[in-house]
Amino acid sequence: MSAGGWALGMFLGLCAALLIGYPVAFTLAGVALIFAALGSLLGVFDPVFLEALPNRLFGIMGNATLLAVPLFVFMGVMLERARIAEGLLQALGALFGGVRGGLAVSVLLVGALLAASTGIVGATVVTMGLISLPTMLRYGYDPGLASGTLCAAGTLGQIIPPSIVLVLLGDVLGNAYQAAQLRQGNFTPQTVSVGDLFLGALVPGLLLVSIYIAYILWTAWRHPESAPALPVAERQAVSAASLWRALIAPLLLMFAVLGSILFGLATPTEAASVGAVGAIGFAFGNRQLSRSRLREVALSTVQITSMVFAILIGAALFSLVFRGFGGDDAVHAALTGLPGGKWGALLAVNAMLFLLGFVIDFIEIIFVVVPITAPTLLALGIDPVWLGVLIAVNLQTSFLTPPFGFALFYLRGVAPASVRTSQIYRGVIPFILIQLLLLLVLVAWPALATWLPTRF
Amino acid sequence: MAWIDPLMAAWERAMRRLAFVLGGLTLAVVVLVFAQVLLRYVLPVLGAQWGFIAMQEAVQMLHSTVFMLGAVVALHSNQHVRVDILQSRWPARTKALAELLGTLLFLLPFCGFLMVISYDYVASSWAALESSAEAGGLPGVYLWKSLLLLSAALLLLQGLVMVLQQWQRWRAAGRVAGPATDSAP
Repeated sequence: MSAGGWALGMFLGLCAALLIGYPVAFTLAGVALIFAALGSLLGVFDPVFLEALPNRLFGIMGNATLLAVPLFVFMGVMLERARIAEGLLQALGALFGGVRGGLAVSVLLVGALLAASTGIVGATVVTMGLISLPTMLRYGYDPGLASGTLCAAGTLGQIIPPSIVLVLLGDVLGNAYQAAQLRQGNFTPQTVSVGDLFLGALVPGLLLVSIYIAYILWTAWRHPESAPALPVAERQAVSAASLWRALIAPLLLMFAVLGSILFGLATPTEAASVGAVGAIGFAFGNRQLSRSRLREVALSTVQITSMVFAILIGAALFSLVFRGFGGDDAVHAALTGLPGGKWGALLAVNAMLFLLGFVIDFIEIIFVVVPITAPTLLALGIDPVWLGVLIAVNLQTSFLTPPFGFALFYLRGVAPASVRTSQIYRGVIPFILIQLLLLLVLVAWPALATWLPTRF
Repeated sequence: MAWIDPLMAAWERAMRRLAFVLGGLTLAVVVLVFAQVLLRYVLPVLGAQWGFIAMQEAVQMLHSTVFMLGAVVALHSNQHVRVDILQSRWPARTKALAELLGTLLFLLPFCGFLMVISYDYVASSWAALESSAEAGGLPGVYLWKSLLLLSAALLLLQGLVMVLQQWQRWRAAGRVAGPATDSAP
């Protein structure tokens, strides 16, 4: 069997093994070892490749960029437990509820705000689904529109910085970018950082939210019955002062985190620590801070962080073996051999990421697939920030797409039985089309992503 | 096998304690990184100097301790991500068998392999009592690198515990329902 054959076999073997449902991190490692053993027996794999593993893993342990992960996770979990979503939904609902489609718009805005602070898809969809879906349904919203809005709002966390997706992508793309330039003989390579990706994703993210809102307002205008305004008597009277209080803290926190990265005052890791401490302060202000709450949040952070890093470790072993079989060169040859040059390669990689997004989580995709494919794409002259933003939007779309999108599962889990699954699927389609529109816009005008990072 | 229950109970306690300690370390990471930001802006105003390398390395050591050992805690409390589109539909007995096979084919070989492949790497670091290569860095890098072995060993133990549990679950599912009826949803 050729190198390409083994590499393809490894990949298909991984996909099959993942379906067993064993934890992904160990499946990655186990499949890699099985293939390494087979390959050594048949004399097509040199076990010496494996000896790089301890140093690789020690590199992960000393990786300062990824230190941002536990800090952002801590911030997100703390804000979630401090009931930030509840406060925001109430405040914005009171503000916009009187307008047609206003409730849906406030769900989207809260999604965007939460995304800027937490970025955890499941948590956002579940929390907002529990709070807003019953309200929207009670006031006569079309179930499809309501659930589509919720799913879309929940996945905004993937693209709006600071998101964990962008942190992981930034680290992986940074390495891939260096590798690509070294391969081309550039020994003083340029770098791309997590901060660059945050900046690059900001304009596309805000653009996306704007198009979402425009769509909802248009729907509410064309089909008033699908997104009615709340009757005045039903609206809770909310004083300007309490509205201000509900909004000010999350906004301050968001500006502190994003602003300090934007103006170069802090690295993403440092900004994340500011966010984490800010979240503790927010919880305190909301009277949600206690010793047991703090312990809960810390423990949850340990679990989520360890889960992410375990996958990174499994993926490190997998890519070592994959490289040992000549898989990197095979992928490079396959991608550069496609018709259409860099566009063909870009399309192929994104199509694959989209399909994989149905089955596996973004963490595995970023750690396994992106390191294998990105060096080739970058060597073909594709801008790393642009590529990162495209991948993030693409993965976000994948999470929205029926029948396998993760956001849909989360929403189905909390939606009342009266909402049919087919309604959820139908409701989310317009939002998927908007996602595709954004992808096209980004392809047509890459500057939307690449301009801001050059300004700072 | 009367000796096995107290042993399992002790392991449960150890895992709970480990989780508690790692939670504390996570809080320490948050506080230390934040302190670093403050110090960087406050100290120059006071005209003081501060060696950041040592602090950065300490944070990195704490953080990596959390996730290397946290992998065991997450495994123990079943928090690792899975692709469960198929598994969620399987009867209990099939599920237990899949888990048992996963542990035997994927997890345990990986732990054993990691211990073997890391041994020389860690041992040579101990032999040199390696300390940080950075000026102003911390000593004790050999202890830091030993996390590779410690994590692999604890994962292996947790894996063995799981083999036992999954085997019992598989047997129990077989006894209660029987292969003929347990395919019902």
